[in-house]
Amino acid sequence: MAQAVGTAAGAGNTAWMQKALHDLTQPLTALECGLFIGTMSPDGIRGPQAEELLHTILEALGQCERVTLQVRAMQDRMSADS
Amino acid sequence: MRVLIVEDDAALGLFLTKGLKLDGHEVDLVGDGQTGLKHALENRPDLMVLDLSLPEKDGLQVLEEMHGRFAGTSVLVLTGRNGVEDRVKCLNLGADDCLLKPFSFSELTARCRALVRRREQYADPTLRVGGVELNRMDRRVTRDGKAIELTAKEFALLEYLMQARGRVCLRSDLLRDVWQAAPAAGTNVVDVYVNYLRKKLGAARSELYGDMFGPDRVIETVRGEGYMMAAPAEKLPVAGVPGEAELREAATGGSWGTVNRASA
Repeated sequence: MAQAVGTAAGAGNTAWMQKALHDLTQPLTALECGLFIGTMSPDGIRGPQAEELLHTILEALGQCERVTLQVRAMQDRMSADS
Repeated sequence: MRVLIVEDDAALGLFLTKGLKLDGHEVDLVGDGQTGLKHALENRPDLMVLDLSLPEKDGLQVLEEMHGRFAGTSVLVLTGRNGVEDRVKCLNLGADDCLLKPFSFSELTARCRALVRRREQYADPTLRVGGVELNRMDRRVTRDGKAIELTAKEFALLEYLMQARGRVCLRSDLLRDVWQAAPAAGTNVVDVYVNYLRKKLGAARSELYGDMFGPDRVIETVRGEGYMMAAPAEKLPVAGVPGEAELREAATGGSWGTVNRASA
């Protein structure tokens, strides 16, 4: 009985985690795409301020990539466990 | 390239639209599966970027309904589901590629370009039946080189008939596949649109050749069944009567005398 409850709880956690991960991927993808588009600025925008802005966006993209790698690792783990 | 994005997440849809536009594509965005299917049917985009989790009809249902009917549209599926089964299912239902969320925008555009390259390599975008040519890439229709303006529905109907060249298209199939209506729907919309097409195709022919060829038979009625398009050489020959291809050749500077002798 206790084992069955434990298994059900485990399955519930897995389902919750899967949904949470799925919900996380949506804004994370939007964030990455939005930042990337920020680097595709029209040719007319130049100068030190634009350079600085671009540098900042690239930094943010780097951070975004770190989160993405973590999410991928969690997705793989969930996939292996289920 | 004409791209249709079917994505219900407003922020992601907006960014994808902006980015693909900046990448030089014509982009339309819709937020649910049902509208996506309708849009794809009417506009035949070169590429559909399809999210799996959608309201109205989800991505898998959209793929199921599209399966085998949208030869000219490549489909790239976006999914947040990591399971191999989901991706296999998508590919089996006709998706050309799957991309797991989260993804980078540069990977998305690279995959879009790869799909288009693959498509251009293997598919001739032009359908030809007799003197009628339909280009699915630039959505241009000509008859013996003369351009013909068609509405989206007329284009879809002509494309369907030309894809089935030499085979009878049943009215019920046309209703289901071109109009997405129930095959038993009591409507004469198919006949009305075939009539529109005949008029437009016939007008182009008359402008070029006058009444030289007699009645235009580019879209044949198959009594009690439906319609068929076939080149003159693919139709059953009538003894002693020159084919339209021969007459056209003669009218455009070919061997008119030979046709006369043959038909004498």
